[in-house]
Amino acid sequence: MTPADAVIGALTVVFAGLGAFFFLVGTLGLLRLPDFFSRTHAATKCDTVGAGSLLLALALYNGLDADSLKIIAIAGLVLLTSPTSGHALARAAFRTGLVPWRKERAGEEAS
Amino acid sequence: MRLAEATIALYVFWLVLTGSFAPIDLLVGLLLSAALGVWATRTLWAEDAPTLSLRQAGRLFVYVLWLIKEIVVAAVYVAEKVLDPRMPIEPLVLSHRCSFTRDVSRVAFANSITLTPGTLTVDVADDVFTIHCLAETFADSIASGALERRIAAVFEE
Amino acid sequence: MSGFLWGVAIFLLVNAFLCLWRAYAGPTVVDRVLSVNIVGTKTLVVLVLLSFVFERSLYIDVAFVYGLLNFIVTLAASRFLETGRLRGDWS
Repeated sequence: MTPADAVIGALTVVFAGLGAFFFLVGTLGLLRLPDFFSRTHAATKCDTVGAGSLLLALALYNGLDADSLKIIAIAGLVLLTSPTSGHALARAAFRTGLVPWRKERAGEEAS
Repeated sequence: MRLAEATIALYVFWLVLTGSFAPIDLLVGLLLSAALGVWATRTLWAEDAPTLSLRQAGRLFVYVLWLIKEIVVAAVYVAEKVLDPRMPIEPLVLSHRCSFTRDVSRVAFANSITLTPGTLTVDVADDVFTIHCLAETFADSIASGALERRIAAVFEE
Repeated sequence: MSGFLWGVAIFLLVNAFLCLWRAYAGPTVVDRVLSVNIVGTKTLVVLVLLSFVFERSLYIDVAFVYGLLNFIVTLAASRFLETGRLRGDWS
């Protein structure tokens, strides 16, 4: 195992770990946040970063060939489609009359 | 000209997907990309093709790098809020009007809002964007129009 | 390295099952569709991981199609929720 291999292996582990962490945050956000719109925040952002980071790690691990290009293309696909599908769902929810959750503040009437 | 651009883009995509340079693969790919290119320019992009000049493409590259940085910031922000046991978020909804001339800039603006920290595009009707924010500071940053100018610099003019 | 990739894949699958709780609990239909969309993204990444574990690059193509289908399913579902039909005008 050459030093270059060791560096690539370490980078793979770091990026894959980061990706797994952001996926976990996305899951927790989906379970914990109070309403649909804030859940969409967690879903779109954390999932995009999680998937992007993990796929980047795998492309690094694989080295430079056609498969890596394909993996990068999948990452680009996720980057484009994840916010768009989040937006489509949020729009459907908004237009069918789902009211966003507001934090109740002192001196303000709860609506 | 548009047809040539679409065909070249689709052909590059085909080469990445097949990863093979056998003559038969190259030929089939060329025919399929040309056919899809004709279809795309006649129907999907009949009114406004999302093509960019070379200078715009260079700016788009810089913009995408900046956007990736912003997405990471956004994810870290959401992670902070989610992992905090008190979950200190105060969501609000605002409307923002902006005047883009091309569909591709509207799409880029809506998706960029979703991917930058604390904001999410909920609805787009003509030029009015309905935006859901996780805190009031993000509402101010949208209203300042900085992101709008960035998008305009890449896709408009 | 294969063991590490297995670990990450299993971790993501556990996450995906946790997300399914939101699909079960709701409370609104859009929540359910959103959670299914997220499970789809996780599955996509698991497929790419497994392509390295089993050394089959075919799985990457499957993951690509999975991503495209995941997107189209979400768009169709949200459009159906908004307008009540899948064909014709938006209004």
